[in-house]
Amino acid sequence: MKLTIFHLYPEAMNLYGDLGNILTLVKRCQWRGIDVEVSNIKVGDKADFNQADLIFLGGGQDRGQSIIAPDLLRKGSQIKEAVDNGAVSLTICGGYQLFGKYFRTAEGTEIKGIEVFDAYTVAGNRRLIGNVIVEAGNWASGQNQEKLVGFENHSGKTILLNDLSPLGTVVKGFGNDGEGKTEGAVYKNAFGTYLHGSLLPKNPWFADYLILKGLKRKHLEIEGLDELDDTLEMDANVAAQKRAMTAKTTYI
Amino acid sequence: MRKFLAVLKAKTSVSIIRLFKVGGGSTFPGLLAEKIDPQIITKLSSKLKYGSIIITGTNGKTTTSKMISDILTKAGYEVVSNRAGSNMTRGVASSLIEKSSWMGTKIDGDIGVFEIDEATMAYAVKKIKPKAILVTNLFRDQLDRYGELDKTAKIIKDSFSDANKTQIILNADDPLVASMGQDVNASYYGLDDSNIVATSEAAMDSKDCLRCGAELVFKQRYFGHSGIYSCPNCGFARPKPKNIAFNISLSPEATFMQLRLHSDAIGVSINLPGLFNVYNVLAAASLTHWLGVDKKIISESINAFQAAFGRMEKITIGKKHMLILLVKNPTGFNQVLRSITSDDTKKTVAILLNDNFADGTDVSWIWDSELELLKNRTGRIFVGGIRAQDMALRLKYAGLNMSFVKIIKEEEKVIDESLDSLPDGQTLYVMPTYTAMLKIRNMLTSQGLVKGFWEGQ
Repeated sequence: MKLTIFHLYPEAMNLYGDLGNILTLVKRCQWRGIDVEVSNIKVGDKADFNQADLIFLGGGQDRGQSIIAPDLLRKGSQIKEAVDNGAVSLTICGGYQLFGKYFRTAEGTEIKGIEVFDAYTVAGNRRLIGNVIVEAGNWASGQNQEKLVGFENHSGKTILLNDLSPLGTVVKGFGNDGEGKTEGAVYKNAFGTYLHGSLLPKNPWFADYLILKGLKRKHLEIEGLDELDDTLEMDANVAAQKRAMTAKTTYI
Repeated sequence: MRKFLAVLKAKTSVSIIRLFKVGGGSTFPGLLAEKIDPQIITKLSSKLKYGSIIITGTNGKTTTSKMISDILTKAGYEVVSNRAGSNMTRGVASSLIEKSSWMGTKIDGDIGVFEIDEATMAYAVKKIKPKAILVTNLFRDQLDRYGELDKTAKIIKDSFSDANKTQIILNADDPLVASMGQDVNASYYGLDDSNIVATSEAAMDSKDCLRCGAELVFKQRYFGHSGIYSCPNCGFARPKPKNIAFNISLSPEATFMQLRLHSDAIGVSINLPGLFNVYNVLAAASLTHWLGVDKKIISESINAFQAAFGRMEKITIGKKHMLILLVKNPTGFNQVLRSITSDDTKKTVAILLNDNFADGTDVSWIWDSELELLKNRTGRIFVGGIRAQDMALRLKYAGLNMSFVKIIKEEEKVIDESLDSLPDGQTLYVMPTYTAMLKIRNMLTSQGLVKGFWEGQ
């Protein structure tokens, strides 16, 4: 059994510990004896997204986003097709924005996205920074855990359109648009969020959820994953939640 | 009258604060004085006969500033500096007030050496009107506070517009810093040593040309995004520096190098490890050489240099030693990890991760640091601080044997227990973030093991 991860633009888009997310996916597979392969996809590379079980795109600075955006657009229809056929994707911050329709920068330039999510992002006039707790949406019902904890730092405000579901509801923090109600987006197995921190190490249940969904793409017969000792992971999760509740959230 | 009142009130607060040990008294008096007289910094710093120098950048500000102050002091200058580590402008105001007469008409000093936080540059340059600005490097650091690296570069570059006759001294090897040299009176320093080669792609914060956005081509990479580079698209390339370090020899305890400062050549050695310190030495030597300090004085001061607290300072407690290595961003953390794992012996290590404002409230940077380097190089690892669990988790995913990792939240207890477990004659390697370092410092100060904040270094 093997999980194939496509890591998009690991050099241009790795701002806040995104490597920690990849490391978590890799280790949690290896600890269970599941083979895992990470393909790094750079600007200009040809990639067959039918092969991808899990697509990851992290955050980047505005400059990083403009550099990769044209290449991402060229790959856009392939990625959308893969997502529609059940591929899992996790996109964070800048990557999440580019999986929407467009990102309008503070200067008014529109960077076109690949429209996996029926959402758009506009630059806000303040940065939304701090620890976040999110209560996961309906997609997570049946999971043992339903809280996600992470750190957000963005000035873009993401607006979800029509009936696109958010990843969850903000318990603490700013979320998609600073109004503090919804966070992230979910379409089929595509998950977008502003949470880094890194996200997956402290939310092992979500990491496992993604791994299982990814494996199911080629191995429909799988029902669940072997249990791991997540004591330390959940200690860190609880500590981060406490910090989120007590620390002042700031914006600059 | 306004200035008198500002100085008087602030001076009183210096003594009161110290009396009650509220802190080092290194920012509060300045805060007060600036409120009473917003021009206080300009008024007092203009009394410095030889003007002021500003040092900014992500890493190396404190060490470089201290080296510059040491060299200038040895050269006969009377230095006013904010070296207690308060690098916002109120720290500058405090240091000026401390050295000024009660009426603020005279100042006890003739040159200012100020380390300034990147985000405060616009305001500081306007107020201080420096004769020279030194920019050390720009790495990912506390992005949660300042937004993103490109914006920090722009803030610094924009601050130069208020300093048109100022000498700008830049690190040529850091493309983000070197690209600030356009349209200003700039000179450069950099390494010229083909034996120094980066081994990892990690912590490469900036790979693209800041002027046109194309990916830079590196002919040689020293560490992070520092090296010899050029842009294939717009032609921007590493400026050829007139001040260089070469024949560099690194070991876990000391560093030797030769410097060429324009036509002058000197050899120096320092009791500090790591390539970062080569840059600190070169930066301090370049600036003081520009000021006209004799090369002999420069080399003697550098050879005699003692590190600032937490910057690779070695403390002896009974028969045990402790080396405190401040960590605050992936590039710096990797340098520290690299230097302590550069030999085969198994080290006892304490890592303290806080997420207060001064540390950076976002701890995700530990996932961009190569904790994997500690594999097979450590005995026991003690983990502490507000986000101890995050650090322990990082170690787990780095593949370390967790039965040797112990979590103790309170900083002081971590030091106590790790020193207890340390055999005589050995060194404990402590890697704290900023506020954890202050706690350790307070603890050691109260035990009389190190001097207080304000008693110089």
